[in-house]
Amino acid sequence: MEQGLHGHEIDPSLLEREALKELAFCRKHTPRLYHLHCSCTVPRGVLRELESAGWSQTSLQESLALLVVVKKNGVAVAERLLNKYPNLAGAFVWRSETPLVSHNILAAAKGTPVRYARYALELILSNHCMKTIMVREKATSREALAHLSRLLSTRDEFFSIATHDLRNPLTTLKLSLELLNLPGTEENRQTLDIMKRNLEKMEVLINDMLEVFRLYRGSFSLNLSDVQINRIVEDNVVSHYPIAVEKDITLDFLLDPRCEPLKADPFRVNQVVANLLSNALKYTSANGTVEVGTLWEGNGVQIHVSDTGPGVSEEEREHIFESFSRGSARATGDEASTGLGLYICKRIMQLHGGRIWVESSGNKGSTFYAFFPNEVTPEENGQ
Amino acid sequence: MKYRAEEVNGILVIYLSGSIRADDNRPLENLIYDLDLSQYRGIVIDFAPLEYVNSRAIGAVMALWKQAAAESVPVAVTEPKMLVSRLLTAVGLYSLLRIFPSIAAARSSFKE
Repeated sequence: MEQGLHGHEIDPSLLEREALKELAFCRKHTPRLYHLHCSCTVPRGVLRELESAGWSQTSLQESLALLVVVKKNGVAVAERLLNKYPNLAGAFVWRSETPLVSHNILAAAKGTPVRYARYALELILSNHCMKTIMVREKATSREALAHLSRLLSTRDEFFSIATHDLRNPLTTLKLSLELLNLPGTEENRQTLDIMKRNLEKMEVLINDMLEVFRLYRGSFSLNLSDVQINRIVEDNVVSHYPIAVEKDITLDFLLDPRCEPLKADPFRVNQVVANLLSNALKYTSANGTVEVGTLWEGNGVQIHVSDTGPGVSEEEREHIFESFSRGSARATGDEASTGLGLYICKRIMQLHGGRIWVESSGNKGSTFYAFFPNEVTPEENGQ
Repeated sequence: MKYRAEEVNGILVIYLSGSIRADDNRPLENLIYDLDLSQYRGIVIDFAPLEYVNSRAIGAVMALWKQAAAESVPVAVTEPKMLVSRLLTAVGLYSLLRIFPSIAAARSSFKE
């Protein structure tokens, strides 16, 4: 049994539960509120002084919990708690390091329940506890930051090596496949087709990963020039035409003749249109329809790509533009899907100062919109 | 009307004009797939006035071309506009077509 300040015996396990309850309360409420709750004797002026010295609120809260334990149950109990929960205050130093308290007061505070002595003790404890916590927090933060920095460098290096080293053999494989001189049997043709399709899937995945890697590193910038969006949309419709014919999908497009040239990166604009169009064709079944269109809005051009696929649910719409996000829809022709395409589109639109969004109603398909403003503001370009 | 078919002296001429979009697909497919090619000595497709043709309609034209080739019925076309040429090239059909500057020139290419 422990001896409390008031002389009565106290069950240590009860004290520990009390202390933990106090700690939990501290973490939940601000020091000021806690002060009011338990009539802590530490004056408000002292609290303000500690706060202005830059000590964190968490440190204050935990120290105040400790102070209440000391106030109610004695220094020995607090010491025991500190030993068990070193994160609370670490060192429990019985040396005065401030000009406010002398050794005499300290000696007086140890055994005598005198209001002034108790206040002095509390002040000493709060000073030492919080200083130690502050030092530990700083060290922990520095260590954590250094560790995080090392992790990020490792990730970047791995990404770079993995994607570049995967691309080289892939290019060689593709070329070799073109030059492969096999007897023209139906079986060989089918085998070659399978090989080519799978190589194309790998190529799509690696290219998307490379793009995302560039985005993460911030090395993804725009090369701006005057772009006629209608021309890019038309080119993409033509290039995706064979897929639509093969899948028996009606591919239509309707361009607004009022569209004027605007400042954009033609390569990236093409990337957005191609991505949206290939997605629409990917998730639309035979006899379905995909429509691409442009609309001049005075301050920019809005592109829309509509399909009669399975649509995008409300829950999926919240995450569909995040990296590695895939909806529940499945490609109707076993096409590759990395879950990165829409994330890349979103970043491209952000860099252009534009936006991208989707509207969908149940199973009646969906429409993706991308709005390119007339001008890209300098701080948005490459940031 | 964006499409119609007319037989003149054993040669079927399919006239296409404007932009053939999704709503036009079914009637055009019905027109093409209902044809009995064996009764014609040649087919002319007038692409010249066509502004745009969607993928499904192109698919129907491709099916017509393949069927005509299977039944040894020659097919000739008039020179399409730039966009339609691009679309026909994309599906690999343009290089297979016999292209003429006019319907009359295309018709006269068929033997009597």
